[in-house]
Amino acid sequence: MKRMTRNNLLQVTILAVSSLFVVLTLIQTELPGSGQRQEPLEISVLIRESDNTLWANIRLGMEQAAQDYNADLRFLTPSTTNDPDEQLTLLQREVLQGADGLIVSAADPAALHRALEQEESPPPLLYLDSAPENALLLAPDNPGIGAALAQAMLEDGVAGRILLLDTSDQRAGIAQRMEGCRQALAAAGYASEVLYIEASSIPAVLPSLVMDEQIGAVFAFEPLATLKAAQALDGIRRCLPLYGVGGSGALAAYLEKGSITALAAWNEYTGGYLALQYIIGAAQGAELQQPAALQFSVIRGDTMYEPEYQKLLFPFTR
Amino acid sequence: MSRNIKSFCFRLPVKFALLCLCLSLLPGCIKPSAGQSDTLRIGVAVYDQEDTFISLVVQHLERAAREVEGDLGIKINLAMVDGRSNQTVQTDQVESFLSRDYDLIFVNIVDRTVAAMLIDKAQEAEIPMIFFNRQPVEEDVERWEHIYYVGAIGQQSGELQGELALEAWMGERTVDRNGDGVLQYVMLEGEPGHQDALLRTQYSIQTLTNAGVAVEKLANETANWSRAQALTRVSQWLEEFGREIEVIFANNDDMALGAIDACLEAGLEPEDFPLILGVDATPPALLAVQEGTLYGTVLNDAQGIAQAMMKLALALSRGENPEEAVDLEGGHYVWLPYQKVTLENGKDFLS
Repeated sequence: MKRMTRNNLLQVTILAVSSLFVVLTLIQTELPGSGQRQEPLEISVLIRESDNTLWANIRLGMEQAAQDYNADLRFLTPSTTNDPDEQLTLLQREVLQGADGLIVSAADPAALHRALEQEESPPPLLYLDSAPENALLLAPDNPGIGAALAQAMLEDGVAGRILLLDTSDQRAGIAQRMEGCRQALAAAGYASEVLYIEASSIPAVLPSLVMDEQIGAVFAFEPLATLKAAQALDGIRRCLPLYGVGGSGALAAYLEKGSITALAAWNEYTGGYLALQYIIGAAQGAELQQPAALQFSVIRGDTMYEPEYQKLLFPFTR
Repeated sequence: MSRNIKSFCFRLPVKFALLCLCLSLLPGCIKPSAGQSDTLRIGVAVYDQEDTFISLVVQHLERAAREVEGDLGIKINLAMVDGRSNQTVQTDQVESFLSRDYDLIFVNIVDRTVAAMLIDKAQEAEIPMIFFNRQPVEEDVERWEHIYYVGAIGQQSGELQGELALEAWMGERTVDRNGDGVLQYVMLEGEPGHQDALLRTQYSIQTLTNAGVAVEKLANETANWSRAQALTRVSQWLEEFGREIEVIFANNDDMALGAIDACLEAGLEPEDFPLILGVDATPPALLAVQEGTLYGTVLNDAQGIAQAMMKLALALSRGENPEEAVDLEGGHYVWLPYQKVTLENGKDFLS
């Protein structure tokens, strides 16, 4: 009888201690000051420009999503613009360090993709602007952007030769924008000339080129090229229409000043937010589907302060 | 009760207890998604990301973080938020960093007079806070030992800008356009109440007058550190004073570039520009120096500020003495020197 009591006591004690463990485990995340916060997901964002100024609004959208979904953002800016090798090194390092998800504006999407496929268990990756076939891409309708910019020029009744700045290099999305523009211009009977150039070389090359009076308009198809072209044309005496892409504050300033005739822009803040929201979902095991294309608008200097466009160019008012 | 039933009754709780014990230990066995023990999480709150100099500091911070990661094998996650020149917005952002258990917070404060509130919250959460570029009042910084400020001495930037004007005045360039022996100037001021704006305005002119140069102020107005606002102000002054303006002092480079924009819009050739001077040595300003549209600027060492902040952050996160990591004055301040930049030495800073 005495032995039975001891056994009972032992069993009851074990049961009580174990139950306490279970209860504490269940409520530990709710206890104030427990220090057992759910670890944030780590999302690495690799851009291809060494100057991340043009990414300011996109980044703010991403930071907001990071806060809303408990993620840490690692925003990685390379030391050289459009350097596929440096970008690849950065990407491999992020994978090695256990990134939960990747968002990349790739200098060479195909090469990056091939390298990622060599990894044992790569994290989900979302491309911005340009992607290899069948990869996940968040971008506006790239050919549509080119066609819409061409349409803007046609509405302006510009005459002369049309100069298309091709800064796409290995990026299919940028090339698609240019091709969309070229086709729309050709359909309207305009001949266009393509200048293959690095965005950083535009200020040195463009001013002398456009002194040729026969050039009637210039097109750029990505934000950095548009900014460089606006800076280059701003310093010359000739007033030449420039059609470009992007929605940063710097580009809006040139649009207001008249150095840019029309901009194809989308809400970069929302784009950044959606990109992070998407990749967090993917990192948490959500079924991967191609994201919908971002909606864009063509904005001119005299329409930039209309409410719908103001929201695109200035996501925040001061 | 038969022996079998008793045995069942006794074994069931034991098995249940063991099961519970195993279950309760399970969460501890799950590997975190990203090992956070070797990750330094830093919140960066800036007053306005469109300020070119601040954007430059942030870029240097990111580069410094990647260098440290490569050298020390740790991860540094920088979360950047923009206060949009609104202290209420920034306070919310800093509170969010505190509630999300960031290891450190870098603050480029919107309103330097309300730092005490942020400092008290940081102390309560025991999270060190490093202010930069916009200096809180001294009494606030003294409130807690783990509050620091990294920046340059505003007075020195004003003095160096004054020296640049003095050198031009005494040199070969014809600054005294009307030959009256008096330096006529206009002053583009930064945000009202900002200590750098006040000090740069005061000491640039004081340096000239101390050297015996007679000066006449034609106009002064705030352009809030903004290129666009400076363009508007200088366009008005050019209409009003024309060639009477001999020197345009700008409290920062963005405003100096706005002055250049105004001169170009007015159809002036660079050789007909008044002498234009800025502060910060931002990349566009350095290019303007090379092009000859900006006479000179004063280097506000964005890279040095970023590197000092990162060194300080590392020391604090490792429990080391910060005075061994950086040159700390009064236990709280890291001061970076300014440098004069003109056409002669501008190329040294362009890279």
